[in-house]
Amino acid sequence: MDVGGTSERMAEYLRDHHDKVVGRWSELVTARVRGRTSPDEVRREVGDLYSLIIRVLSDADDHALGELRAALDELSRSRARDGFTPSETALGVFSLKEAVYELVADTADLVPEFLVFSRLIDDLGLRTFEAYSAAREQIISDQSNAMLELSTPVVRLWEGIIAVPLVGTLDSARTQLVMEKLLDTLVTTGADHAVIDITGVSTVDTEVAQHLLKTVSAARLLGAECTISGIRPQVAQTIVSLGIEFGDIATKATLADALALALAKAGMKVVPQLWSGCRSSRSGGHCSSPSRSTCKTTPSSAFRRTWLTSWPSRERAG
Amino acid sequence: MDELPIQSGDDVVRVRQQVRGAAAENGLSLVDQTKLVTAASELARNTLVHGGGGVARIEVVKSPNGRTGVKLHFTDEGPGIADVDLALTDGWTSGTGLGLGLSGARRLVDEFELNSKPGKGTSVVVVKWSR
Amino acid sequence: MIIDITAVEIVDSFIGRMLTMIGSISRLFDAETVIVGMRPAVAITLTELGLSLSGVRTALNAEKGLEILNGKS
Repeated sequence: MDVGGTSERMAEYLRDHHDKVVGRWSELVTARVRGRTSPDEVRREVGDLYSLIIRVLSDADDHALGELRAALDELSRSRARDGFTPSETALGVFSLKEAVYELVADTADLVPEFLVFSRLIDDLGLRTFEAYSAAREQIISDQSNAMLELSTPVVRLWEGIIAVPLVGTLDSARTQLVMEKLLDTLVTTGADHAVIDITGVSTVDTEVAQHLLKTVSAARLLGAECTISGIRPQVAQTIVSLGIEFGDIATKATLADALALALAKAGMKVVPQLWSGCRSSRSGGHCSSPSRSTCKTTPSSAFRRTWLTSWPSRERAG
Repeated sequence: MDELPIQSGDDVVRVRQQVRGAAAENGLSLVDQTKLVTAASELARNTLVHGGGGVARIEVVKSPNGRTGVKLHFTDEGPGIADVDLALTDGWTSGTGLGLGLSGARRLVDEFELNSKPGKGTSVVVVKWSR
Repeated sequence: MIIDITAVEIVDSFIGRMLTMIGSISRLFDAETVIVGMRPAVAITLTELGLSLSGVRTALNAEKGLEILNGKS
């Protein structure tokens, strides 16, 4: 079978019956589209594809097939964006076969030509399916990246101390992101200490431990020390039974403990503030009592105490 | 596809620069660029020092699902590696140094293929994909 | 001695060895070496490579590096 000649003859036929076929094809597609695209828009898209198909069939130039494929991919993508199902888009392409068949059905001599043409259209229709699923995969990938970003905050706990609360799983993709964000934050804040809280990490196995160790190593290269906090009792058991060694990395049960440790390392101490609101002249404005309730010299508290003890003979305290 | 000779230290630097350019142009993140260039540096140095000089090829590739990647191919006609598995284990060294070249480079890339036979030279192909 | 690698974009095992060697040599002269300004991308790559740069202190920047050398840390 002279495929080349066959295609050329088909191309010629299509050229000769351009208006009729394009018209019928547009009609069929418009019926499928059910108003989501205007008939003029459909006519234009269909017309462009038709010209490209003729070029491919007549083997006019090398770029024709590439251009046709690109045009179809773009069409599939925009249809996908507009909420069309992949079947609808594919059927739109297959409608061309229908339109042509209606014309050639009566003439018996274009059968081999039509077969070759039919195969080309089948390929194109299938291609729209592939383009659709590739577009959906891209959306899913973008969304999961966005989710990853959102679920990895790095917060500043105190001057020079930052915290990374990890929630969920800690796989290698997440670890990469954690390392990047942690290190970037170390650079911008100049922090010396990072607390990695794993309270929210569902499972801690050897792989997760390795990810954590890597993260700590990287932070150390930037001169920061790390503490791992949020090790729940069950998790501690798992770590021990798996034989995971955290070496010289400090570990704490709670974020609070880790913060206290970090503050201590930074040479700071948390002390209760002495109550300095005493206004009694007797105490000279200073009170040795640590809190308001135990102050003996403020008039109002003294009054309250005396009033209570000497009721009902309410005498005012001096 | 770019082909670069590796016959001197300067060539290693040139390979680094070209790989950096290719990685940046094809959508690799900064960290991924750094990893790929570092791997390229390791492999180019290996080609120079252990392979007696060779060639580096840089190619841009596309995955079935549309992702772009950078493929690097290092070849030499040197003595070859007798025990490939041994060479790829951590800490193995053939001479002075930490010997982390091959196994380290492998960890930095997404795909790694090493082919070597004693007397037949060595070929290393690596690929790093954009995310 | 402070080695500022802020401008260094790539640290492979060859350069890593060199830095470790500088650290060892300086210790022979009873001097401490601190490497400062490592870029995050470089730190992540080094960690992946498994290079620990053992025997060399690291700090975020020259200021903190000096603090280490002056014995504050």
